[in-house]
Amino acid sequence: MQGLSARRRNNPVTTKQQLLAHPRLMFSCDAVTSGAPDPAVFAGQVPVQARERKGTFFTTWSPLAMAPIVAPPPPTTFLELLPTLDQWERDLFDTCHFLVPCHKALHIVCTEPLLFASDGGAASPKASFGWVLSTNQGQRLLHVSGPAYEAHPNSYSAEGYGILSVMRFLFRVQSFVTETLSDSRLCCHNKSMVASSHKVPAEWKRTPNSTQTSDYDVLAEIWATRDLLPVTVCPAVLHIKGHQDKKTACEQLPLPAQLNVDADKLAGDCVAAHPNTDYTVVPILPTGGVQLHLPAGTITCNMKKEVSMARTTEPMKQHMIKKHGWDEETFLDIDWEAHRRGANRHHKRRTTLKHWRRDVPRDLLSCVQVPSKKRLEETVHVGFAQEAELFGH
Amino acid sequence: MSGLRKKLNSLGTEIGLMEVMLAGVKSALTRQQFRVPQELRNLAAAQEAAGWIHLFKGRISKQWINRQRDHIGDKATTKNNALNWATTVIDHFFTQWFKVWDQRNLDRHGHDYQGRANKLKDAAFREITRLYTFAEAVPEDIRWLFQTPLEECMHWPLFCQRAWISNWENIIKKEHAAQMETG
Repeated sequence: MQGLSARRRNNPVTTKQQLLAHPRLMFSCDAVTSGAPDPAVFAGQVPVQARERKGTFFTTWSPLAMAPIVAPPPPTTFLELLPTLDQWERDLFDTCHFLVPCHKALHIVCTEPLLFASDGGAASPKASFGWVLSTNQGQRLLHVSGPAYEAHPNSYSAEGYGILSVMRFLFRVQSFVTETLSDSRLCCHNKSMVASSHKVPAEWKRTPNSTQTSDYDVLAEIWATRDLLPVTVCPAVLHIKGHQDKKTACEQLPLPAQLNVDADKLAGDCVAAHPNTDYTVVPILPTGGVQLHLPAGTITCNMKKEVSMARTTEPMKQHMIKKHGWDEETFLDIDWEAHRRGANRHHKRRTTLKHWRRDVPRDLLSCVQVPSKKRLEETVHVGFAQEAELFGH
Repeated sequence: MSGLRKKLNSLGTEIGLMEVMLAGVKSALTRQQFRVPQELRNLAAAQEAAGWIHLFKGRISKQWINRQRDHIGDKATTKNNALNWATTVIDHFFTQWFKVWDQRNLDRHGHDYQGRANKLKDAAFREITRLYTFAEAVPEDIRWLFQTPLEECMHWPLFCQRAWISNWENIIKKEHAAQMETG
């Protein structure tokens, strides 16, 4: 094994890059730099003493008298509390608009039964949520909306973010005020999200594999927050029919439906208000703790499919380019989304496996490799659109 | 062609676009050149790069959709839009393609039980005939395989023919190849 000194002797030119590249690097300097240093470079840096021995720079750390870090004063109002939260939680209250004075709203939260209505919407590649807080008499107290992050947004996760935002609101208010919160109901029109968020799954259902289910990070955070809330404070999550204003005037609808319409509008306005927000990178939620990042963004649902797509798309693309003598530009010029939709629409997609291999021209749906019979059986639902879906995302 | 024209008409396709698509399909089938209007040259070039035959396989250039989108303009709705237009056109191509494929399967494998049996027997006899062409070129020790005259083989039941092929095909080919190598 060649020592550091020997390597220095062999290569006497010392540059910053070489020093940085060394695994045992303790300090780096730029030997070719000359002239007066820019003071801006040292802003916020602590001076150290460095000495060189056999080509390696060692630093001597002498703690300097530093000004003690003064803790910021605790927030006195709820609105002051919001900026002190972690980034992921701040995003849940991205747009927070009290319709009555904040202290009055918090007083009502503690004294009167409440009604929340949450809604989420997704129009790829963007998704958002919105929720409304109201008294049972219909007095609106608070409007909140925010982005729902995901590489491939769907309304399920957007609804999840809405419910999570409500839960975190109750948790923060409960820790902020001294009184006990009154009981509340939360209306949401996504039945599956209502069912999922309603209660934590039984212990025996929680396996490592269950963490791969769609939008587990949001659900886990909802369940964790529910556990932090007293039973009396935890809102009852109810399902209501959505978009009822399509047939009936909004004023004539029952209060939960009216609030749902308001929440829907808030979610739509949120997307319109943030046209440049990048929704593909999901802030990590503390309970989830781990994320899968692919070039398309953070993957929080359809893990197996997304990983499989990420693995096979590029080889498939190269195979088709080679087979048909296309160049990259030609390949990208083909509308694969229309191809996917056309293939999915065709009745042959529903053909059974037995007839599948014989009845379908191979070239039409060329694959990189012929999957085993078992795999084909597993993917028979995708079947016909296998190639198409590769390029549909 | 008339079916495609009818379909494109019913979808409200732009006239120029429709004519180019019909001409492109015709050229893919007949391998004849066709004239393209000046304003659609880019579109035709883009599809030419991918191949006109790929229209049948649903691989259409994005420029078709862009052009149709411009044609629909403000009248676009969730149902009547350029992407749905392209999807329907591709579905039509797929339908026609599968019809041809099904027809090819029937022609190749027979229309009914008797037809399928005859086709299988024909295929087996073709294979045996091909293997019999190696009779003179195989080594002496396996030449006895060809003692039965070919005409007699033709009257064997199908299972006998298949058994003979699966038993001896690999051996005959292997020995023939070895004989060719050694001269």
